[in-house]
Amino acid sequence: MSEPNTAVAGGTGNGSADVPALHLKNLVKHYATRRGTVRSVDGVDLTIRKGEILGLVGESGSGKSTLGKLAVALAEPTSGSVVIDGTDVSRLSGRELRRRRKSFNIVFQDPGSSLNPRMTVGEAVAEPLRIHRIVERRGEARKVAEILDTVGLRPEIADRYVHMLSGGQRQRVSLARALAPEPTLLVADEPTSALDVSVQASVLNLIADLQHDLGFACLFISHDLAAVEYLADRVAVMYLGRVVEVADAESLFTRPLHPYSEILLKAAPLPDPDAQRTRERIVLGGDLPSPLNPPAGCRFHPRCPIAVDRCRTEEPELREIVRPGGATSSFACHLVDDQGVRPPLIADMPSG
Amino acid sequence: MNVLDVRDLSVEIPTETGHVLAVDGLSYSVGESEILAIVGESGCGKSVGVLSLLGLGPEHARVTGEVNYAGQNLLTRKPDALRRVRGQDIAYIFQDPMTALNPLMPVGKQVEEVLAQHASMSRAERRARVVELFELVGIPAAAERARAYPHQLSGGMRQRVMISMAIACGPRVLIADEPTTALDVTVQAAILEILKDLRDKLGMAIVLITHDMGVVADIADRVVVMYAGRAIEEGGIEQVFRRPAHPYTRGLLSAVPVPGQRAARARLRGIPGTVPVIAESVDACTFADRCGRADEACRSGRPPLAEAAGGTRVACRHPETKESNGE
Repeated sequence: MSEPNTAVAGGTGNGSADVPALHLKNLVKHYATRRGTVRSVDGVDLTIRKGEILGLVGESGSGKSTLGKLAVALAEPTSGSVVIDGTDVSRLSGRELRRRRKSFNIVFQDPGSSLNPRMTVGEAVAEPLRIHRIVERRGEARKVAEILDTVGLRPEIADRYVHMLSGGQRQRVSLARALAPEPTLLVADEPTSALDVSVQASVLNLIADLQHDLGFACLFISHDLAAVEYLADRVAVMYLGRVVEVADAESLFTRPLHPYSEILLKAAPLPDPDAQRTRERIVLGGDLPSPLNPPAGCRFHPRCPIAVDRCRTEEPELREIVRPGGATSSFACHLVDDQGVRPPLIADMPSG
Repeated sequence: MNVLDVRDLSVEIPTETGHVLAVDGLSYSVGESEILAIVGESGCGKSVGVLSLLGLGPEHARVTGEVNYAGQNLLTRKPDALRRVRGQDIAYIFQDPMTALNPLMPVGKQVEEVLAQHASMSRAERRARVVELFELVGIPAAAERARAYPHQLSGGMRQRVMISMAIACGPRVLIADEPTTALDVTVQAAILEILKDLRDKLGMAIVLITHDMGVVADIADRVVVMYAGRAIEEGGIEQVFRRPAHPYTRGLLSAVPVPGQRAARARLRGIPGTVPVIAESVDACTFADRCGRADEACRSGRPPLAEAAGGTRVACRHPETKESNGE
């Protein structure tokens, strides 16, 4: 993978195929509060290739939503850079940033609160077309109908107000809005979490289809591991502001390397009583430590069943190894060796 | 033996735009030490149904049917009598413990209040009991945590406080309405373990309301699937997951991604259409408009719950008979 450093100054973007769609470099976002500094994102390096879906999982407080906002320049990083298609968007002037916003966008969990209730669906979808001057007024209605069609909505819906729609339809409208300027990067922050399961399925299928047809890169943020496994090509796991593991979806879900990844995967209940009741349980002790004052060494060490002295003092860096079969995995754990082997988690744990 | 027996429960809620029949002739029972899951999507009536058992439903709702507990029909009892039943015999926990706890009072004190209401204990005895209860639900440093205010605790710890409050007077039935929905998966796993553990130790019956088939698979002995206010399928956990007979139950199960699904290139199947809002009980299957198998028979006459080949009881004229595996 080429380092896009040199392209930052030029900022012309859409270069060769090996320029990643998104490259986060040593990204840090701290929030000052009265009680101290919240280290929400604390040194993240992450790459999304063109046309790839990267799943980002982690529990509340892990910093995954902050990372999503940083990725589309809705928050300013404390340090580090956000390079989209060769351009560092965290260093752009207001006007230049607005111009570039065409190429990246975000959808949120609750379309009810991110869509303007006083706009019709047609107006909501036409708005980004106007802002980015994508079509002339004359062709607007046709373009809106076309976009609605790509997200599986009938053209008549353009005259309705958002509150008249179901949750699933609203999420389709926010996808239509986000994708109208044909971005190269879409961040989807928990896009199905507010929906009923039967509706979730159709929205997940829609995102998969749209990504396949339009070829945008996608950062898919979710606490729903099953949805991430279904959709993502690669998966990153966050814990307390840091990425602890990145791997292709299959490796991560079948053989996670970081202890936290494994514990997280085993905690998500399977919709199959036999499998669910016979699997190993690892109940995670303690609470998530405060991002105001993350533990020294490995941030996971106070809750890790296999932590050793080194974990308490020395923060592990992300290391990359090649797994059997050729896929690469990165992980931040002292206890995983270069063959991807580490002590089992269960050995001295009482099973639940 | 059944601890709680609900017969033909209906809940009609008046709204500005006419009334809504949230629950439509729902019957189920739960036995001692049994965990019954009531599962369904938003608006199916699963929460209103359990809240209405003890007069906690929406204001002005009309509740009919029978709720049989310890030889009496709770729906005919006066509010005072119901208040004694709540907490003492049947206790609730809810999705969001933050809104159920008093933010200005230490959590231990709040549990003490429940004990003061329902049990005759001295103050010292109550304090000791709170620590005991906190230990039972896995709150570390229990005596210290009892002095904490709700905002000083994590979501998982707050839910543990709620559970300790609910079990404080040794109820025979615990009604848990989406108790883990607001929690992270690792915390959810711990809370589900606690509920199973309490069932085993105290012999409580648990009625668990959830939308999550994974949670059902983890904890329940039996399951009732609700759709548009009605129970459409009911049975043992093995039968409902292995051989679901109602097309809606199948739809719910195939809408959830399972491990390896993507590798197998199998697409998720949603359920087309939306859940209807029912104003009055219709003499037809309420799922018919979204069902690929529906015919005249489904639209003329409410299908009764009847034994299906797979061992569940199903309200469907054309139940599925194949195993759901390998579809």
